[in-house]
Amino acid sequence: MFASSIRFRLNFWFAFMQVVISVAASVYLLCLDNSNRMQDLDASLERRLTPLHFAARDSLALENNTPSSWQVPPNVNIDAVTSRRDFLQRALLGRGSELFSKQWVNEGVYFVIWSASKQILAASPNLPESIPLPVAQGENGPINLRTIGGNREAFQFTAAQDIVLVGQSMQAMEAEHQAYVMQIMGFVLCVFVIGLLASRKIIYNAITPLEAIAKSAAQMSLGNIQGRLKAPNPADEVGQLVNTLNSTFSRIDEAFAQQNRFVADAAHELRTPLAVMLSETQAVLNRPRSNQEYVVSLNRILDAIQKLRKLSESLLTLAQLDAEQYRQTPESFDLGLLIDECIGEICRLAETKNVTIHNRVEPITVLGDPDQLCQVFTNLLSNAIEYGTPNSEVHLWVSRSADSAKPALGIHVSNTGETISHEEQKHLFERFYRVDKSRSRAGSHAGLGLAICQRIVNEHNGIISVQSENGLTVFTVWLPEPLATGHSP
Amino acid sequence: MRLLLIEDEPNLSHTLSRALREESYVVDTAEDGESGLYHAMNWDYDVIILDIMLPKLNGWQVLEALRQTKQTPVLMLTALNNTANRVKGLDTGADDYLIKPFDLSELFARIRALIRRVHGQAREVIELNGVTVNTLARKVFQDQCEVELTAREYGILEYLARRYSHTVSRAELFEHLFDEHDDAYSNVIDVHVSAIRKKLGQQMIKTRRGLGYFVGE
Repeated sequence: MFASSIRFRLNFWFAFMQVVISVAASVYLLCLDNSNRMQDLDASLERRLTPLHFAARDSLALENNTPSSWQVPPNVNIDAVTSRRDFLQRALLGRGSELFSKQWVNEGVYFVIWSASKQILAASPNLPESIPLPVAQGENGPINLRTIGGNREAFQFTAAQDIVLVGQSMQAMEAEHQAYVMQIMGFVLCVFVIGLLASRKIIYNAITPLEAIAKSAAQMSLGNIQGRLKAPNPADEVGQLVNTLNSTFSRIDEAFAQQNRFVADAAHELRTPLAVMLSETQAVLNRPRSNQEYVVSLNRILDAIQKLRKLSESLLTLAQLDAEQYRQTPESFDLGLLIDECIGEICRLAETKNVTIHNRVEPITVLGDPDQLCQVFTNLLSNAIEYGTPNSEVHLWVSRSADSAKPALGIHVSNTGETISHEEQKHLFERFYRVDKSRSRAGSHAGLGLAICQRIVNEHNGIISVQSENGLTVFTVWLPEPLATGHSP
Repeated sequence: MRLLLIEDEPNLSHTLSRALREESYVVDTAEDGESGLYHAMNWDYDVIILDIMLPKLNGWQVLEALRQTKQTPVLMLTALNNTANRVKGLDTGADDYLIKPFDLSELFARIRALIRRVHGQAREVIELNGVTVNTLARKVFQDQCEVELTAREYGILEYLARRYSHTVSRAELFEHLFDEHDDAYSNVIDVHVSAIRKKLGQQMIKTRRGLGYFVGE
């Protein structure tokens, strides 16, 4: 459980990475330091070897009495020199020698010069006992280096096979290196601790908003999603996550609210005809009535029952459309013929209001469910007749849209009557919305007809729209033109 | 007793007004909020029955406008069935609330209760000197014997009995007992009062000359 927490894992990996980086960095630094010190030591040994080399060569020249362009060291009285060994003793160890000084001794530097016959010609007093003799490596060979018994030594063979060697104890260097190691370790430890604290803080800052989100999300339930999550910084990733979640919650909330509104509206619409039926029946049964009174009363009840029937059918249609049970394989059919059929169904209503229907829809093939589309046009036509002025005309015609964003085929239904305001047009297709807020004028309409129309048209990948100006209202159903068949006039 | 029914569904309005008239109430009807408010402001009704979803002015607006000046009891009749709506209705100044669909008997009982409350009575039976008026059965008894009164006569007696010890003018009686479509003669009240006196005795209803009638001490 502990290991599954992001905070724990982040902390763990952060610390692990820091350890790896610190160890690698300190190992690198220490190696670098060691090799630098070694190089410095070697360079200083080589520097010190060269004058000894010259001294050995000069002493040989003196012994052989071969002319040479060397300079006699200032502290040597050349006339008093008896032998080669004597020269070297005077030159190197004698009073005032510049080659071997007190400083060498302090630094633990020693030297030795062997002749070609392996006799020690000269040696510093601090020469360690039992120095192994270097192995010959050719005349005037390169400077060689070796490490023996905690000492570093540089040696060289002269042209006459003399051997010159300078050495130094590595103790001082190692002590300095040890001090450096301690320094580096201390520094790395400090960085490690600071890094650990900083990473804890960073991780805490990153994780805390997530925990807050989880907490407030836990407080939400299906019934209560009004609350919204808050992000400390709306611009960062957590903020974006919160925004996404919040907009999802809003949509769910809206859907719930819509559903609740719909149920409340449906209940409301069901209650009114029920109230009529209940009151009417109770009133009639209260006392004996004449036959005529019974007929009037029964007609009133029948009216209410018809209303209930229409409402329940509409609700059922909507529920089925919502459940997408209606999605059948679309068939292609002639919309012109279908509209003729719809007009046939509606003509009695048109006669009662003396409305003339002018149908100018030519035969067009469309793809879809003819029953559903018939419902759409019957609905639009009956609205046009019912809300139109008596003795007016209802027109039906087809146009083609050049706008590629819209479906191509527009079927228009127009009527003259009251203009629908822009505000009302916005809500016209909402469920249970009626332009006339009361029940009286709309008759048996519950305000579901246009909602059903929109639902069906949308299901056919179409759009339904309305335009109402100067007493002329036009409803347009935009449907996509079937690609394969095209249109056949 | 005169009621105002503001209801826009024509069938329900017809049914209710007929049923209420059969209960001997005088009923005026209005089909929208505007005409309902007009009626309510211009006549003193005993109870107003108010729907909420109305054209022109909705029930809340009618109630709010009415409560600026008048205290007429209002019974809200609506299909909006949730607590928030009921609370809103009662807080706006409604006296009672009934949800559609309802039982007619309950509607009648609530109207009776509202009328009782307005007149400060707790019971349905009003006792006058030797005469008992049972407003529930709409019957009048004198010395345990039922006295037959016509609906108008009963209405006048009940109204006077409810306004016990108060003088009631002819105009007030007329306003509470006849609806706007009645074009009765102005002396029709006097005719009915004298008929009641014949049945229940001359001392039952006293005349205050120039002021009106009254029942009581």
